[in-house]
Amino acid sequence: MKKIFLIITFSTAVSIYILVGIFNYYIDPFSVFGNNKIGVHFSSEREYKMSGAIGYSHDSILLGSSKVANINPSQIKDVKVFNAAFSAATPEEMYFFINEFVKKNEIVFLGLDFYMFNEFSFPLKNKEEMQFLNKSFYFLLYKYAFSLNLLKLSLRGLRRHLTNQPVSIFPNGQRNTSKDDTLDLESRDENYDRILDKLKEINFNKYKFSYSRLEYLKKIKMLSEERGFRLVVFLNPLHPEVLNLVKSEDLLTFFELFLNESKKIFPNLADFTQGKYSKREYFYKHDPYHYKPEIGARMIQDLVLQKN
Amino acid sequence: MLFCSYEFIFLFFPIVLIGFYLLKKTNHPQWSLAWLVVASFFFYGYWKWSFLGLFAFSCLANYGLAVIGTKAIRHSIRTFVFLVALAFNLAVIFYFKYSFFALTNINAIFNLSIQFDKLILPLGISFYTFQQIAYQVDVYRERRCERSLLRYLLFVSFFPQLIAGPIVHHKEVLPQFNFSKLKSIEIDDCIQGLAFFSIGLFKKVVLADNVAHFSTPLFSAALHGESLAFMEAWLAVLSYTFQIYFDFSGYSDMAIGLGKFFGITLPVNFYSPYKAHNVIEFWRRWHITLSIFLRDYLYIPLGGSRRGKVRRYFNLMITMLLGGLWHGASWNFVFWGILHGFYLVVNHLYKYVRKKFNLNELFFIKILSPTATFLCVIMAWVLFRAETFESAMSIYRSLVMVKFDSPIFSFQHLGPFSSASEGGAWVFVCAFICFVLPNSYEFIMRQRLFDRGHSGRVIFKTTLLYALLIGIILGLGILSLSTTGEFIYFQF
Repeated sequence: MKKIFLIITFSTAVSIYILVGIFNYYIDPFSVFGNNKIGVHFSSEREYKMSGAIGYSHDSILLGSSKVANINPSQIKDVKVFNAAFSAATPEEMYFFINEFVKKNEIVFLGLDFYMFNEFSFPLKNKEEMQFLNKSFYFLLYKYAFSLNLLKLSLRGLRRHLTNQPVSIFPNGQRNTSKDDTLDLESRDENYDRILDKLKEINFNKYKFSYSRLEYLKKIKMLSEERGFRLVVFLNPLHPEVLNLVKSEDLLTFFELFLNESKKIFPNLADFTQGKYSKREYFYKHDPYHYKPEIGARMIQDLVLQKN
Repeated sequence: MLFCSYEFIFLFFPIVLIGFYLLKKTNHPQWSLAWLVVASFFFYGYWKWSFLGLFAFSCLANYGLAVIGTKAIRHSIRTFVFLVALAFNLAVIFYFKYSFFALTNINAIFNLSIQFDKLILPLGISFYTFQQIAYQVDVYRERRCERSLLRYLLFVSFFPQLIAGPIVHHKEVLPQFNFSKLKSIEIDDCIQGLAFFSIGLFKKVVLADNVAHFSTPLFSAALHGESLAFMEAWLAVLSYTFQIYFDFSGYSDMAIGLGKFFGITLPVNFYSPYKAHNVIEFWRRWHITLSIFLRDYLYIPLGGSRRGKVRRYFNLMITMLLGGLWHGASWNFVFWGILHGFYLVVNHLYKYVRKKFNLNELFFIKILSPTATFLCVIMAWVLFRAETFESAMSIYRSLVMVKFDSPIFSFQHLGPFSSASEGGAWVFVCAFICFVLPNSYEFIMRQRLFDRGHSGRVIFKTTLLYALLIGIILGLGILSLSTTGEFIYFQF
């Protein structure tokens, strides 16, 4: 009986292990293996964007924060873009991404934001924290499939698919903004001040300018020269009231530092922080931080035309 | 190398186990011990090869000094050798663990600016140094030492207990490194080993690591000067209370389980500490091997309870203060030790008064004492976990809602990927396991160390049901390896 006990114990453990692995492989909630048939239901963009960059055919990549992640790349003509932007992206993450996934002759549209240089609210990350970027990628794929956490997401994804809930990210990398569009219709102007206060609290209450991140921008530039891909850098448009906020007394020095240093590194940088894409009506009413996806697509299209 | 890593479970351990059993069957069974020593040194070096030399030197120096001390005829020479051994061990641990802390404080007190970089703490240094100090003390007292270098090296380096305990006493394990005993390893040992390892792995990678998702961001927010809401603070301390228990007791279970595969019984280190009815009992259930070490090699040599009440309480405070400092070079650990010392003094005073005036324990005190003990323990964990004294105080303020204008049910510091309800559910599951289910030792070994607080009906048997249960636990544990973190006690 004792030998049988050991055999049953090991067989049970191995069976569970293999069954979960097979289930995760076929559901593939982040489309890492390219088997995903139910759509990506999760906002874990970092993971998906990295696998998507491999699986989705493209010649250009959009990188930046959630503002850029809202842009529908299929609306941009003359180039085949994959939207690899993700929320709260930071320069070091974008550098690691570019280093791993961008090839010669590709075009990288890189959207920068002021918040990205606040090391207090967004502590500096190292490469180890971004496990999908690790060199031992295939070993990690194996870790991905045989994972209890992923089983939880596979089951949740399957349930969302069966109950016809919308996906979070489209195959071209664009975030599903239908929820934002609905919210926008219901929004009222008087909520603006409260939203701006919240925004300030999250992103700018304490600001520590990150010089290390400027170094990462320089590294991105060097990489583009070494590897031979084109880099089109722009500063995201700011809603007039958000612009006033970042130009307030306690932030102005840092904001100017951000503008000047970015322009030093990228002399051809397109500064959209104010100007034709920064009109009040181009932003969501319930969220003046994010411009609407169609504005973003127009802006990138402009950059494509300038490039040509 | 972590026990809960792919390389350990799928490569290192199977290779070591197969090698051990093959060598055990040869005409030279001592090779199996040598094989374990080599494997243990490899296990240690895998973390950082540069510290392997220090570890080997520490083992050889202690072995050599013990042999020299035992052979010495004159008492004064014996004493001298013992003092050299003690000074050597204390100097090594002081240099690596406490020098930076000491110099920082000296700089602050005397307004100096002595430059000294913080050193990397060699893995498991507190554990293997304490084991060897205990060994040296007993060698000096008893004039007997281990003659076989191989057995001595295995006693210190045996990989299941090497880097995070249990702190094994030489009298417990050295007799087990015996060829005739090794020959008679039975399948029962392997079954028990597998059960211990599976439960330990589950505790660490499923329970501790999941509940950590709720304590880590909240303590981190407090560290960055954020003020936690009332419920956030409670979620933080309860999560950490269960995290540290499942993390460390999980490691100890895995160590005991691994030892069993080689026919070695390591001492029990945790015995449902949160079921304790008072703080004295808590320390008989929590990190038992450290408590025994502190009692035998610090508290009793200081005089223990033999020199009057006041001296006894003083000795208790000193023992707990140094026990706190053993965990790390920081004032928070010192205060944590002092707080536990204070709890113990109060507990002993209460016992003394009851005995002196022949008072019966009041019913409501009997009922409330486990809850009160648990509350005292979790309050102390705040000091243990918070990285600065200020952040600990901020959490205490939030726990008692000193700021009446702050929100009660806000969970804004949890971050976007965790929900308070999920955190609550994990805390509930952990509490159920801690307070209702038997601990792994009761469950597997069917032995009771305390009369109360056991759940005697659930015991391990070699039946189909338990085979499936252990298999499921093991399977879930291995499936969680991909997201596991380091053990908390590695840093000590």
